[in-house]
Amino acid sequence: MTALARLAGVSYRYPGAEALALDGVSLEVATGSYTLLAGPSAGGKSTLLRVFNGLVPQFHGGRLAGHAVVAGLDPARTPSRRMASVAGMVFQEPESQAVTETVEEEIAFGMEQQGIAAGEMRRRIEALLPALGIDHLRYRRLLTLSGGERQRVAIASVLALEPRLLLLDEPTSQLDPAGTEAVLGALDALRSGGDLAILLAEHRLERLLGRVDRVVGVDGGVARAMSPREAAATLAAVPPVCELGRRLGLDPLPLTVDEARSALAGRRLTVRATEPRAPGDELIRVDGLTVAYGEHVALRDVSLSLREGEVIALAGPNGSGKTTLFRALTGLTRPASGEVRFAGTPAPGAVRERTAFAGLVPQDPALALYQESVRDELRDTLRHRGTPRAGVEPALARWGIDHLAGRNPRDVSVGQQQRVALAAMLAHDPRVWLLDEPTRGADGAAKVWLAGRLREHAANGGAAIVATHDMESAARYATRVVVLDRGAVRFDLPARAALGHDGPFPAQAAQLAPDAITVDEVVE
Amino acid sequence: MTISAMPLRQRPIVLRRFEPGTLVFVALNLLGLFAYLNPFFAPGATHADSGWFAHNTDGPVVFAGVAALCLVLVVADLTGGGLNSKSLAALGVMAALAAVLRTITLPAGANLYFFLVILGGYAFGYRMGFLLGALSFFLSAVITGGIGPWLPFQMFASAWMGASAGLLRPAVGRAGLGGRSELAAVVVFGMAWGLLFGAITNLWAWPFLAAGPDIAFEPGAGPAETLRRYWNYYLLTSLGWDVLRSVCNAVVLVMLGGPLLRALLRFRQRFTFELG
Amino acid sequence: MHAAAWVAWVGMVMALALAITNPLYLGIILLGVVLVAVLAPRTGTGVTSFRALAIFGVAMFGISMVVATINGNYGEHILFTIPGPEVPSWLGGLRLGGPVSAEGLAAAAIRGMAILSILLAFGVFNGAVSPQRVLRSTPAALFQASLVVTVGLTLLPSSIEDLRRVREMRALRGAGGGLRDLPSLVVPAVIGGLERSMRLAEAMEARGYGAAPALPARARLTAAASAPLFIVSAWCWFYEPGWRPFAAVAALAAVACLAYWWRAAARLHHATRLNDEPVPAVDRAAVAFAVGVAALAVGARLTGLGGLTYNPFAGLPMPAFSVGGALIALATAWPAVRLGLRAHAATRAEPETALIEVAP
Repeated sequence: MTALARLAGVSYRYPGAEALALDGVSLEVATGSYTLLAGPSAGGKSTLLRVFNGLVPQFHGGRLAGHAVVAGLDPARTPSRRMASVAGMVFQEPESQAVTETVEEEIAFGMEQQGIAAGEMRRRIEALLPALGIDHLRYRRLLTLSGGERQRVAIASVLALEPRLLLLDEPTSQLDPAGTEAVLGALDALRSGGDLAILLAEHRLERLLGRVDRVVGVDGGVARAMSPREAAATLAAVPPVCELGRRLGLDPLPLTVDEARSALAGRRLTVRATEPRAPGDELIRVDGLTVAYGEHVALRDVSLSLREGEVIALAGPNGSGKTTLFRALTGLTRPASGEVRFAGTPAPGAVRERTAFAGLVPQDPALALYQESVRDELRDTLRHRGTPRAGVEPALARWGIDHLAGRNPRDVSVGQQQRVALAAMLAHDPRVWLLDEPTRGADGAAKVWLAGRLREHAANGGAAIVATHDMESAARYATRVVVLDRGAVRFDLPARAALGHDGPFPAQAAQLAPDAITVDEVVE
Repeated sequence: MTISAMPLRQRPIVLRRFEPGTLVFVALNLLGLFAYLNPFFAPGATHADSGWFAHNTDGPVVFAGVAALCLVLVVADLTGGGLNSKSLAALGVMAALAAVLRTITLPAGANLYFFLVILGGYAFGYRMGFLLGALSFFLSAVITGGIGPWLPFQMFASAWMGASAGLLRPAVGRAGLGGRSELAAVVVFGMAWGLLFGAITNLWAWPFLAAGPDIAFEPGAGPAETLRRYWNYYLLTSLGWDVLRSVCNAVVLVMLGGPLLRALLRFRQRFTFELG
Repeated sequence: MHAAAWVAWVGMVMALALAITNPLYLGIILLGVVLVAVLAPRTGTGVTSFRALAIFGVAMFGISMVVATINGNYGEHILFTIPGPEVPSWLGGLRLGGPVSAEGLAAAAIRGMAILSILLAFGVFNGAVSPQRVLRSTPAALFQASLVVTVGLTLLPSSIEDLRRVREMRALRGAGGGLRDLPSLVVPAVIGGLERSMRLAEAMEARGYGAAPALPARARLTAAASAPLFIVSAWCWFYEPGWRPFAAVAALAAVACLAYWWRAAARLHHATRLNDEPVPAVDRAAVAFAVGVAALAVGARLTGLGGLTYNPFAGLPMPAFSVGGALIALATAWPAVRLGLRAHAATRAEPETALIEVAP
């Protein structure tokens, strides 16, 4: 295999930044290879990807030092029009990369900019649609597609320019498991087809370690290339199965559950699980809740109870009613029928009063940040809640953001912004937390931190409901798992039963050590 | 940090070939203004026959058409070749927001459209302000089905509002205003445009709609008399609404001016944002 | 009907309504437009706007009549006198009331009818044409401007969604809403939108959208030169009758400047279109017909043939009427013929196929 792209001693600083975003990165990408960029958020993965197609420094400004060559071109100096037909890039959010209205037009946009003849455009579109499994979507409007479908359209629209290098910046971080699998499956299919090299940045390694040829760990602007097995041994955040392998000293380290199972054959593992405290008084009770949007019934006769000390992981595919349940609990949506009780009394009518007791953090909460400092942001919430100003400093400390207090919330890193938004929405410290996909797009460290916050809150007599697709993370904090399906409760089980080896969502740890649900519980 | 303490547009100092942008922009705007205001200084039409009723609107119609052409040429010159992707996308999203805000009707028929064009122009400069004013009005007409003969004049008025807001910032900076007095300048500017916008956009139909010695357009009446008659027309048909709009602009700008301007200027710095 | 045919029709109605002051012909134009409005499809984004525009048109007609009544003592046939005050002279000295003449009312009705026809025609246009389709076929010279509008249309739903979500999040944080909370609603929506637009810009760049090379200075200055040429031409034509030949030459020169610019832009513009739908022959014929009728009307107006003009202040004579003039006015109804034929064909077809939108 020949080198398609080569970076030598590349360093980069964003305009106005003090620290280097990339610090002396040297890397080769071979034709037809599949490389995973892994590492914590804000570690430099996205920046490194953008060096390959010249967005860094051409779009972002700043200073780039060192040498970069991609297919014989210098990406830092080649115009984007030329560069796009060498290196294509797919971004994190499906909704902010579409320029046009329909799937076909979207795929054609890049080709139109290149002045490719209509007949050739049609030929390429017809070849790409089946390759990505989106044949049936050709004339659909983009707004009506799911996240996984839109990301596959984005991949198609980039591949239409026939690049030799495909760059993907956390393409599945906003997707549910079905969408993620569809996108990764499409990439597998593309790989088998030719000599396209793929470079993919991602936090969640579970589905990827077994698929890629090579892993590049990126942290603090420094990159290190290694084999997937080496990565499993050295990276900070790895899937539970690798984590377990490390603890038990397995060699070679297993990358998948099957590998681990054969490596562990005949070994006895003991499990030291801590039983959760018995739940206390009932905080929320929902009886026969039904919500309809016009003809569409979003929730169907849902009954649920939440007690002190409980953390419910609320799962189910997109569109199964998780968000609607939160909206109905906080009064944002009026139910058609059913009753909500808070701590034994009927819930008040106004959103403001309901969220004083059960605070909701919706998806992408950072959207509503608008004050000019983090401290003002928390003060704003407390002012509306009529609680004393003295509460600001303790709240900053509770959420571990005291060092950011004077910063503008729009300036901090994405991970920090997420934490600031959580703190702002929950500054008044409500008894019940309702979190809608709080770990979406978060890196391993952020997930561990949030699990700790949830356990602490529950231990202090609070309770929480967390809507999530990430059951491995849920194993760290959940005491119960509730699964919604088309608006109805499908399961309502203790976490140990739901995530155990014979439950509906066996955690990786449970598949190896039957009574455990997290790696921490396993001892030899 | 006060708003004017932030650096104005940072221009790389390079020797360039002759750049016609500013010349074309200024010339076409002045010509457009001249054509549009033509009724005020047009000499009397030379129709000795009794056809004057039929003919006294000919001049205004043709000159209004020329004004509309000037608008199209300015927009084409500002966008054609050299609108980078950042400016293009930012204009698109600002226009979309302005169009949405135009549909939110406040009490007394006023709406939230004006402040965004004013503050956008103020923060991003006169060229961006011009495009923002013109294109957001066009977008709003497209989505609400408001395309009609008045559209070029509304677009022109709105574009002038955005462009003049872009010119206001350097003026405010030169006058040494900062903090509250800067905001006050923006508020007064917004109030003035509340009235001016109506005065400009009502002009297109005036020669057709009014008949009467104190109020009708009459070619050759001279600037002073024409202005008096247009004032009467404006007083009768538009002033009431415009005063409400002007007050609403002031209230919204007082509420929003400070925080949104600071946020827009920060945004511009953060993304090293330039039109060009 | 193709969008180009609709554009041509609206342009024709405008030209006719502005060129004609004969109330009989204006009445025919108005009837023609109303007939088209009844038969026209309502599929564009402006479905709701037709009503609004119709109401606006009637209101303009009303304003015209009211102004003529309040201040309208041109003419000799005084119908009645309204006693009314006078605005102080420092405020313009507008006299409210006074004698109301038949000539004044007739003049107001004539102008009002023209405006009403134009507004109704635009109402039909907004309802019948999808703006996305028109934007898709903008010429090279305005390509970037139309791309801004296209991007705006694409981002519109998410802008609305952002405003809604920010409002909800404010409520979730216990904010009371109302005018005082306006900054916390608008600032995040604007800044969040701008941040999203930067991500969109990045994605566009990654897909090869780069600023097109700028037009050469020569082409830009030539385009700009057309404006003063047009102004000089119009000025000479209307106000210096001795210079009319010169005016005609200046107008031709201006058109030549525009054509040069247009071609320069087209040559530089190398983007292609996936769906470059050609205009069907029927619609091309329709455009030619509309342009022809408009030219005929302007020509008749300039030469005084056909009695297109009328002056009520010349003693309220009976307006002239000729078959030729009436036919020109009647030409505004031509889309009705096509739409009527299509509707007839659709009712004869199977019910299932009649439900399917027939692509023109």
